[in-house]
Amino acid sequence: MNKTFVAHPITILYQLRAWWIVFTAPIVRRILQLVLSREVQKILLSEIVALALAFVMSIIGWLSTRVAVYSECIVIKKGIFLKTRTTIDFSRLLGISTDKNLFYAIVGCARCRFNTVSEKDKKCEVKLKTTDARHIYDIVYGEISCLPIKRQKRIKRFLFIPTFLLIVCLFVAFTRLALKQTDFYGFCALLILILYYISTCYYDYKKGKLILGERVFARRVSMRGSKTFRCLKNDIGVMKIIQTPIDRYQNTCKIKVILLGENGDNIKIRHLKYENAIHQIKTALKTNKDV
Amino acid sequence: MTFTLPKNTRILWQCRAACVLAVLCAVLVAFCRFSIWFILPTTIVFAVGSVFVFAFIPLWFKNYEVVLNDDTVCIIKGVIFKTTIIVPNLRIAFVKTFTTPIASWLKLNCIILKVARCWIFIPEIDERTTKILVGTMQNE
Repeated sequence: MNKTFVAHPITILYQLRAWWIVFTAPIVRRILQLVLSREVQKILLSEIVALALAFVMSIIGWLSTRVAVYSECIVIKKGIFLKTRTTIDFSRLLGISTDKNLFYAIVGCARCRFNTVSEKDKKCEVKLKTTDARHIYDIVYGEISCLPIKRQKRIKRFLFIPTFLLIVCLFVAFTRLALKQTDFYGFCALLILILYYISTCYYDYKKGKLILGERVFARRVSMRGSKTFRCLKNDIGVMKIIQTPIDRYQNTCKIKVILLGENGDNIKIRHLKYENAIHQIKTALKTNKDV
Repeated sequence: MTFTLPKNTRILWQCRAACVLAVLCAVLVAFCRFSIWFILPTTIVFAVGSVFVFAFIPLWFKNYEVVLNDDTVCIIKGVIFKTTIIVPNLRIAFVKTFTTPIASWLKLNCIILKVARCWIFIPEIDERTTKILVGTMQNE
């Protein structure tokens, strides 16, 4: 099955090259002076034309960026003058991960990275629409039938730290208000940051998961954004299970999954039930004895 | 198979940590002749170092385990933050062993496993256990 996906329009902004405008502006000014046979005012005209040219180049760059999924490989096509075509065979593919920060989430974009054994390469990264990224996951890895590892059900564990920070922030703000030492804008900025942190913790509680079967699926949400990760069980290099004292008390753990390769991608999922996690790891990696 | 670290390894690391602590305290004491206030950091370093040498290191070695399964190597370690590292045998790029003169005299070897993105260091274990570990990883 062959399917081609075009990059997200946000790629136009990333293709816009400042150096293109800086170098072409004087050339455009000279051409305009020759054409118009008079001195061109320095302000804006040549720079506007140079910016318009750079924008047109970015649009062409966006249109030429495509991801094609074939039956045995993925091909990433990029470039305007210097065309590159990166072919990743499925046997060399070590998982696909997508990152989304707040800005990407607003515009419906996801940065899709195709992991291989070699170092992180920008040619293996493409910004796609969220639906297209999910579609690529389904084509390459199919549906996942295993159940996810159980997570801590009590939401207060997820919201403990951000709520504590919010209380401290409000306490400090009211104390300063009482002492008439207000810093309104600073307080608002800090409050917005803490509320954003609370929303990411809540979203992580709702959406974060880890499935360990023949196909591995992981999703975590943090302040940097959300990250989704799919690979085959055999692509895993190392797994680390970390328990803080509170985790030991509540019988939970964090699991960090690291892929093969020197720059293998990794993902850490928090607040997973320890017993369930051990059972799934044993089943997935076929360990016969107790860990 | 489950292996723990021998008692000699713990004593060796306690001696190493104690030597470093002694050198650090000696340097700070030397600075005391310039200012009497150096007594405070010296006392703090000595107190923290003593807790590290006589409490933390024994606990860390007590909790350290290497579990060899058919398909994986599991390393369990940690005192406050317990970490379990699970490595499928097929994912181990290579195994390195090395020894220092004192460890060699005590018939101990360190093992380093090279896996994706990290080096896993197993402190000194006896030669028989080293051979079993390396042999199990090579047989895959």
